[in-house]
This record gives sequence, C-alpha cells and structure tokens, in this order.
Amino acid sequence: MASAREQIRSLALSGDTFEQPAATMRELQLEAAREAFAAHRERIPLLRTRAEETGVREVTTLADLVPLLFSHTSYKSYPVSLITAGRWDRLLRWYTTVSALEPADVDVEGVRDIDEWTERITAAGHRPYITSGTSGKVSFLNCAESDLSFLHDILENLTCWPDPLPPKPTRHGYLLAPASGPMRSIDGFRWHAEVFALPGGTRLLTEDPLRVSELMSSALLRRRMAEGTATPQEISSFESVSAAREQELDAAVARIVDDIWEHRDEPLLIAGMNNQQFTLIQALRARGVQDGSLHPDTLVLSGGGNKGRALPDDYQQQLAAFYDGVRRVRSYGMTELQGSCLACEKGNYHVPPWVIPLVLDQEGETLLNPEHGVVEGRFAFLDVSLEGRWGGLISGDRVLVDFSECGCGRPGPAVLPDIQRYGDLGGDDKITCAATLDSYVRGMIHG
Amino acid sequence: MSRTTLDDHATAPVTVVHMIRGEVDHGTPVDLGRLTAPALDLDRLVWPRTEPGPAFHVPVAEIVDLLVETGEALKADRAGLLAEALERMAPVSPLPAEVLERAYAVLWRSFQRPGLYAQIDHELGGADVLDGWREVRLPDERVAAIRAFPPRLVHIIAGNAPGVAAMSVVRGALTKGVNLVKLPSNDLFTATAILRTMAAVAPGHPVVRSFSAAYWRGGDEVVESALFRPQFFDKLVAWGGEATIRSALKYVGPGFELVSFDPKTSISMIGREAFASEETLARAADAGAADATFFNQQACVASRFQFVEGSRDDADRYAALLCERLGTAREFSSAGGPRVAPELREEIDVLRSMAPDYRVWGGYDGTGLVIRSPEPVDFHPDGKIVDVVPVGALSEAVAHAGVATQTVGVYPDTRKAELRDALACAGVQRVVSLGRAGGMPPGLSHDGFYPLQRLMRWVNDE
Repeated sequence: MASAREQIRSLALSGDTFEQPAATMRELQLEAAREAFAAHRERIPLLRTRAEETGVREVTTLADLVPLLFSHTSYKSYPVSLITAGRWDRLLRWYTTVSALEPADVDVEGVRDIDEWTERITAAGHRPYITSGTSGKVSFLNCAESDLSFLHDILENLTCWPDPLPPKPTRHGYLLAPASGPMRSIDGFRWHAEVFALPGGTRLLTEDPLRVSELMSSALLRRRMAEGTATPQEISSFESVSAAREQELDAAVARIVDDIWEHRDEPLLIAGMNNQQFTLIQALRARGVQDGSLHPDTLVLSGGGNKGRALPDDYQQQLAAFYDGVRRVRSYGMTELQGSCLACEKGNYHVPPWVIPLVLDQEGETLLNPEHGVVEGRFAFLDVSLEGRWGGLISGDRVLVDFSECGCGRPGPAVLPDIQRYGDLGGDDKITCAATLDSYVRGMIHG
Repeated sequence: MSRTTLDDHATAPVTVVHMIRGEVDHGTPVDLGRLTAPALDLDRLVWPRTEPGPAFHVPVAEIVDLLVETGEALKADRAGLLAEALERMAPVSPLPAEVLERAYAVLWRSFQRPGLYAQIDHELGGADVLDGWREVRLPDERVAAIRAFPPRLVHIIAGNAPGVAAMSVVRGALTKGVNLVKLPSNDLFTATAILRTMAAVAPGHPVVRSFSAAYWRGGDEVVESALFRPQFFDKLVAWGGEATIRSALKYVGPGFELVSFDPKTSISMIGREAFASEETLARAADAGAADATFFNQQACVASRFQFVEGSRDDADRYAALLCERLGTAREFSSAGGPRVAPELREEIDVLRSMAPDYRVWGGYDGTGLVIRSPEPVDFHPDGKIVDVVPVGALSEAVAHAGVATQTVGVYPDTRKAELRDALACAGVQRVVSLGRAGGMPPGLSHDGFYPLQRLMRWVNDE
C-alpha cells in the first residue's frame, strides 16, 4: 500500500484532484502530515529544535501542527555577513538547518559568489528557489528533485483547471523573464513554454540568467549604508545602474510587444509577473489592441504581489479586462507551496489535496479551522508533498476560507477571493522612540 | 453560514478623555474601533494668532512654582487621576502593569525645581531671556536685545514610556507657549492625567489654558492637513516613529518647522576590566542588564547589542551572567516580559542550531534571552533580547555605532574618555557609564540638541 503522501501526490494526475470527499481527505491528510513530520524531523534541524522545544512528538490533530509551522523569515534568517564575507561553508550550514539537505553532499570549495553557491546546491540534486521581498534579502526555499517533477506533473495536468488545457505545443511563446535562474516562476514559465508553445519559437525578456547577487545587491548596499561604509558615488552609481537596467527591460518588452502585435490573431503564450504584464498590456493598448481581442486559445500566466505598490490598485481588473476571453491561470498561491489554489467557476480558490490549510488567528497561534463554514484568519498550511524542506508555513495573508461545499458543487476547503496582507491593513498607531538602523536607510535606494 | 471573526475576544472599547485648553472635553464620544473619544472640534484645537497665548506674559518663577506644585500633586495623586489613568492603561499598554505603576510613581520627578532650573539655565542661559529682553553687545559696540519668545507647538509624543508625556508637558510649560499634544495609541492617558492634575492644582491658570491633549489617528489627513499650518503653529515636535516623521515631513514648509526626536537605538561596550574578578564581572553584567531592560527594552535608550572586549569564552561568561540578570525586576522593568515574537523566535532557533559559532542563553518566555554571535545579528533584538559580540578591542566596536545610535553605555567609566570622540564622530549622542542609560538628566542635550532652546522662537531687537 502506498504511503499517504504518495497517495495524495498521485491525485495530481487523477483527473479529479479537487473532487475528493472532504471527510476522506481529512483523514488521509492527517496521516500524510504524520508521515511528513516523522520524515522531516529526522533531517531538518530547525524542525527538530522546534519539536523538542514545543514538546510535539507526534501529530495527532491538526492543532499539533501549529507550533511546528515556520514563518517565511526562516528561509532568509541567515546573517547577511556570511555572504558579504564569503563564508560559504557557514551559509551552507545555515541552509541545511532549514532544508532536508546533508551538508556533506555539497562541495563549497572555491565558491566565489552567491550564484556559484546556489549552483553547487543545484549540482547536488536540489534546487534552492529564491524569493525576494522589499527588504532585498532573499529567501532560499529548498526543493528536492522529486519536488520539481511533482511541480511539472501539476502544470501538465492542472493548467487552467477546472477546464485543463491539453498539452499541445501550438502557441507563440513570450516569457517576460530571464532565460534562467533559481526562481520558481522562471521554471514554471519555461516548463509551460515547453508544453504549450511552439518548439524553438519562444521569446524571452533577456537571454541572460537571473543572478541572485543582482537581486541581493540592494540588500548588500543597504547594509553598507547602515554601516556608514557606502560612498555617495556608490549609491549614485547603484541608482543609475538600476535605471539603465529598467530601460533595457523596457526596450526588451517593446520588442516583445512588436512581435505579439504581428501574431495578435494567433494563439499565444504570454507569461510574466504582474508588473511586467501590466507594462505589456499598456503598450498593446497603445498600439490599438482592444481589450478581449486576443485569440481564445491564448494562455496567460501572471503572478506576483504588488510589492511596494508599484501598480495601480485596479491592476487586476485591468489585466482581467484586457485578457478577457483567453485562457488564464487564476490561482492563489506562493512559492512556498507546490502548485497553487486554483480558481473554480465560482472564482473561489480550491486548496489542492496536498496542502492542508490551517487558518490561524492574527497572531498565528491558535487554529481556527471549523468543520464547516467560513472562517477568517491568517493563512498557514502544511504542504505534505514537499521532500526538500518542511512544508509547514505561516503566511502574512488575511484570508477567508470556506470549509463547506463550494457553490461550484465541489467539496471545500476553498479560499475566498478577498485576500489581503495583514501588513497592508494599517498600522496600530503606536509611537515609540526606539527604532532600528533601517529607518535611516530605507527610502534612499530603490528596490 | 457560521463565521468566526478575529474580534471574538476583543475587550470593551477604551474611553479616551480629551483636555481642551485646560478643561476636560465633555463632548459626545465617537466610536473609533478599539476606543471612544470625544469628536474633535478643530477650531478649539488652535489658539488664534491674533492674540497672545494665555501664558505669554506669565513670569517663569510662577510657572516653575506651578510645575513644582503639579509634581507634588502627582506624587500624592489625591484626586486619583493617575490611578485612573493607570487602570485604563494597563489592559492596552504593551508594558506590564507593575512597570507602569512604578513609572507613574516617579512621574513627579520631572517636576522638581532643581531640574526645571537646570533646563532653563543650561539650555537658555537663564530665566531672564524667557521673561524679557536680554541685552547683547554687538561687535560694533551697538546694544541689541534678544528674547526667547513663546512658540506655538504641536507635540506628537511617543507612548512607549510614560515619562515622555511628563517631559513634553514640562518643556511646553517652560516655553510659555501654546501646546497641542497628540496622544499616541500606546499611551492615551498619561499626558491627560498630568494636565488634569495641573488643572486641579490651579484651575483656569494661563499655563493650564495653554494646553490641549487629544487623540486622532496618526496620519489622518483630514485633521493634520488642517492643523499643521504655520497660521496656527510654529513647530511640530515629533517623537520617534519612522512613519510619524515621514508623514510629518509633508507639512513642513516655510514657517512650519519640524523638531524631531528621531527614532533611536542603543548599545553597550564592556571593557576587558570586567574580567578582573568575579565581582567586577557580576557588576558589569548587572549594569548591562539594567541598560538592556529599561522599559523592558521598549525605549530608545535600551541597549540591544553589547560588545565585549575579550575572547569568545569571555563573551560567553558575560552572556550567561547577563541572561540571568535580565530576569530581575528593576525600577523600570519587570522580571518577566513579553513573549518573544514568533518571527524573532524563528531567527533565533536557526542561530541556536548553528553552535558553536552562535550560542543562545535563555528561552522565549520574556524573562530574557542572550545571543552570542561573531558579528551583530541582522535582526532587531527586542523584548529583553541582547546580542553579545566579542571584539578584540572596544575601538573595533565603534564601527557598529552609527547615526541611529543614541546611547552607548561603557564599562568601566574610565574607558569612556578614550571612546567618546570616535563614538561622537560615528553619530552617537550620549556616552554614559554602563548602567546609567535610563533617565536622562535634565539640562543636558537630547538627541544632539538642547530641546528648550530649539522650541523657542528667538526674536531680536536690533
């Protein structure tokens, strides 16, 4: 008999992934949670520490999982000085405390920068997906090879669920992304292009790989500014390099716009983060492309939050209007979980079976999951499919989750469309005279 | 459909009292979510420039007398105004009730005569320039006169330590000007209790009529864009809070100035002399703990990073003792404290598993936690957490002081002189004997300037 985790993973290929009866799923999920905890506790030091400290020896109810959840900051809890000082062995030790990776499996001898360090881990059969926040410090989320193949299964079988798209390479591909780089979105775009776009015909934003050191450059400069060692000339150069880079990207988007214009009546694959998608649709509109006029077999992938409020408040509506009538992947998710919660005909985001939603109070301490009905709280989850790291995480999102049957007729749980970040819901108006050095740096550099 | 909301455990709203020009506002309270407060009448929050402020011509001696009497009244709290404020404050303040109680019990200290005159004498050179025109001889032998003229001030005060309210009332009163105090949501009661006490001592006194204290949500443009104008006020006196300072900048312009008590952080430096004996080490650790726990580390003077001159083992010995001492109740701290926030806990858990490069003492229950690390940690230690970093020489630690560093506590005292110029050069504003970070003495500079001097409007007769 296959393990509970295997059974759940196999649901991605089953054709009725989101139709599993709720009660059966709950039992299977609990068993899978037990298996995942037992397996990861042995290999992930941070989880072991947490289990010892909180006294959780076994998972008997979902509430047992709550003290074992990590926050997204765990994956960027390394001291930046390890990178600035090139302490690659120490950085590896840090990484192995938050992932199911043995330090002995990775050779960091002769590593020169963070990109090479990332490559060495990849060479050992793992993939550290990176995510970047507004602070500039990046998270490293480990994936095992099996996690990557599972992700690939999800996209082949569930793209455009509830009306899955047949895996036929028939579209002109446009990826508003670099050629490669350790980001899940880049992998996702590339894989989609392999499955759904014409072979050899995909256009990229740039042929250069995305470099982690470039993503981190603002964090590194910020650190030097806080230390008082960055010079004004350095800060000014950083600004002009960033501006030049933005101009290059704008030019690249413009070339892609030209190409899309030529093929505007044919099926397309357009993939990009929301900010680039927004730039693109504005350019296409300026060229006279009407909202809702693209070929109905066009596939559009987008994503990414509105970090730093770079986009207008109604950008989602604008994207929806422009891409009206085409195939769009509509989902709620984050790099931290495998696949996403996919939108049904009613617009509710169905949580895939390998993700156990754990709705917590705002403090992230108490489990609020009801048997039935809607509950509001902080979105947390355990992704039981993950092999490369512990899949238990607390997010910064305030959500409403419906545990009853959805209006579409499928069982819950489903995340309702009204999703907000607690951070965007306004401060508490408390004023203190104590602060961090950040106050003196923030706002002075981009990124 | 059953629906659980986050407010199920919410307590009854807190009632906020407003003082308007020296009198309790009996206006109809409006519901502001977690609190109720009288509706704001913007017109009553300003003192028209067409007439002098009520206290513009009151002699300083009389103001000092009033403040001293207010101090006595605060000490006795006969009307129970402080007790009432304390009772309302306890459930909503991030500080434990015992710390608030002890802080309230010593509010009167800011109202002592020697301290008041120290401010007037050291910051303004004497009371004469407040009460009248001081003659000054110009280089060309002409005689001119200057006066520290009463200003019109809006104070946005910090709420992490009740003493801030007392300090603001004292400074505002000594200027003879008019003062509107904007209450912060983490201290909605102290300023009002002090002003009510002063009003009880001398009802209708011009100084009493020179003060208002009210709450509106910080950054509320409807209120702030109407009030923060040079037609009504000369200066915005803003404490801490990055968001506050950034939002205040919108209104700064010709005739409307910002006096900012910037958000700050503090550190300590422990010289190798601490390891001379068990006794000196214990003394240093106790002093280091006192500085780290000031208002349970909620204040800007509270030390968060402590640099120890010595080996990793020396630093460990100090750290272990320090951790023990963090859990001791002091005048301005409690034995317990807030539980360590989950995100910090996570970062520390990771460091814990990176021994021996990092080492951690203590738990997450709020009684105190110490991390020893090869370099300062990236996160902001908060809620009785100290990061101990070994250095070869204290001079190396100067690199970790910067423009955001307010106070540096040094052990032993004799090492201050060798460090103070370098620290000042890095941006530091106070170098103190370790253990003396809390409680700034009146009459010295604050955040790099003399507040009373900066609050006045300096007018010339040439």
